[in-house]
Amino acid sequence: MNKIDEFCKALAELLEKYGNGVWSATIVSMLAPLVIKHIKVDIVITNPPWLQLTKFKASYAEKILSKASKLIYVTTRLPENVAGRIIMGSDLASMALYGALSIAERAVAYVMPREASFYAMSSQRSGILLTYAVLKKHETRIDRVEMIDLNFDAFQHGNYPALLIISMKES
Amino acid sequence: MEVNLYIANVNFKGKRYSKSYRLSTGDILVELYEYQKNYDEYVRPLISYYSENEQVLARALNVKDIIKKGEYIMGIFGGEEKRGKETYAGLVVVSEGYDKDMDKYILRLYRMDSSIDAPRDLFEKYDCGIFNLIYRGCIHPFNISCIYRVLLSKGGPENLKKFLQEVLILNEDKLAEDNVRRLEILIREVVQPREPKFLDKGMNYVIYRGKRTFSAIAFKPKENNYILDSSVASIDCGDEEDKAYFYAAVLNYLAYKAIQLRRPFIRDQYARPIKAIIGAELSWNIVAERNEKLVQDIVKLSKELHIKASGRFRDKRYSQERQAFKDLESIDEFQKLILLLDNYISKYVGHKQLEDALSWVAGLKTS
Repeated sequence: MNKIDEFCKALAELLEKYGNGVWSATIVSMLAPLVIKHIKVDIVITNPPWLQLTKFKASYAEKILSKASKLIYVTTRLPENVAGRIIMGSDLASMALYGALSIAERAVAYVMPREASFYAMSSQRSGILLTYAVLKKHETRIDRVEMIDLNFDAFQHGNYPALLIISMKES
Repeated sequence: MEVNLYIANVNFKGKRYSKSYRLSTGDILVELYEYQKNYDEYVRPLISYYSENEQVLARALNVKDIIKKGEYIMGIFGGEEKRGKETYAGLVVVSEGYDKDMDKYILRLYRMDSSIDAPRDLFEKYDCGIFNLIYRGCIHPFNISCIYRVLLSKGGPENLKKFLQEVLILNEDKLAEDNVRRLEILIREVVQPREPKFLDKGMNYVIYRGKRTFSAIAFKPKENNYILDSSVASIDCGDEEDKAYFYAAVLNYLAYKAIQLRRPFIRDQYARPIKAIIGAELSWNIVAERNEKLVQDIVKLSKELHIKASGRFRDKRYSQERQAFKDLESIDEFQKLILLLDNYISKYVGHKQLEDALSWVAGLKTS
C-alpha cells in the first residue's frame, strides 16, 4: 500500500466513525505546508497571525527570531544587538509576510497590524522596521507595493490594521 | 520596487459597523489619500534613531551623556502577584538598624514578616551594601515621591547570592518556614548588574520614566550610592545644574502636550523623549540662541516647580500618571511654563512640527 492509499484509508475510517463535513479545515491545515513545498503559489491573500514576536512560543520560534534578526541586519546594517531590540517590538505577521513573499509568484495581499507595517501618524514603531526589512529582502522580485493605513478599528480590539497589496515582477 | 502609501478614511452609515454593509450600496464609504512621504522617507527617522548612539544624542542636547536605560535588577519587590506564581522576598529593605554591640545589621526585606541579622563583616566579604534605588513609580513631574533602599553587591550577582545564602543559614532557625522559602526563591531569582553603575555625587541629572508617561525631575545625588532602575532613563548634565532643570521642564512640557492632545504614550520610551526634544527644537542651545532670557525663565520656573510640586504632592499616589500633570495645573508656575513654551513653539517651531516630534513618544489622538 502506498502513502496515498494509507492516507485515504485513514480518512475513510474517520468519515465512517465521525461522519462527514468537519474534516476539511483540519486536514487542509495539516497538509498545506506540505503541499506548498511542492506546488507553485500564484497569489497569497490572508489575515496572518498577529502576535508580538517575543510572545511566539512555537518549537521553531527561535528560528523565526534568528531569521528576523538577520533580515534586519542584512537590509539595514544596524548592529545585531540593535536588531534584538527592534524584534522586541515586532510582530509575527511581518515574518508571515516574509514567508508569503518567498512562495508567491504573482501577488500577496495581507492585513497587517499597522504599527508593524505602515502607521501614517508615526513611523517610530520598531515593528515597522521588520516589515521594511522583509520587503527590502524581496525587492528585486517585487514590482509594486500599495500600503494603506486603514485608520479604522476593523477588528474592534484597538489594534488597527493596514493593508499591504504587493504585485510581483513577472519571472 | 515601487511603494505607494495611502491613508484610508472609512465611514459607514449608523454608529457601529455591521457585516451586512456593502460598498456597492453606499453603506460604507472609503476615501483614499496619498501619504506625503515616500516609503524610504517614512522609515528613515526610525533607522536613524536606531543608528544613533548615546553620544550623538548627548551632543545634540549639549549634555555630558544620555543614559537610555538604568540597571536591570530582578527581585526588587519579590516578583509579581500572578496566579500560579509564588512571590518571594524582595531586595527592598523595609526597615534597617545596626546593633553596635553585636556588630551586625538588622534588616527586614520586602515581603518578609520578620527581620534578619547580617554581620557587618559579611557585607564587607561580599561587597554588599544598601543603596538608594530610583524607580519609575516614584517619579512624577518635578517631584520624586520615594527612593527605595535596596540590597545589592558592587561585586556582582554571584556575590549577592552568596551573601544571601550565608544570611539564610545564620537566620534559618528563627525564621518561619514560608519566610525561609521566600528567601530561598529570592536567592534563585535575583539578578543585578555585574558592575552596578551609580550616579556621581554632586552631579546634575534629569531622571525620567522610561515607559509611557515620561515624567521628569532634576536630581543631584548627595552621595555616591544612587542607582537607576531599568524602568527609568536619564540625561547626565554633569556640573550644569541649570541645564538639568531646563530639560526636566522641557520633558514635562512635552509629556503634558501629549496628554493635552489626547495622544496615547508609547510603552517603551527610553531615548525617544530625547528625539522629541530635538524634533521640537527644544534643545538648550537652540532655545538659547533664539531667546536667552527664555532659557533663564524656564530654569527659574522649573526650580520653583520642583519645590512646590514636591511640597504639595510628595505623598500623593496616582493610579494614572496623567493625574499628576492635572494636579500641576493648579500651580501658577506650571501655567506660566506652558505658556512660555507654547509661545516659543508658535513663534519658532510651529504646532505641526511639535505634533510630529510628539510622534516619537505618543501615538494618534484618541477620541
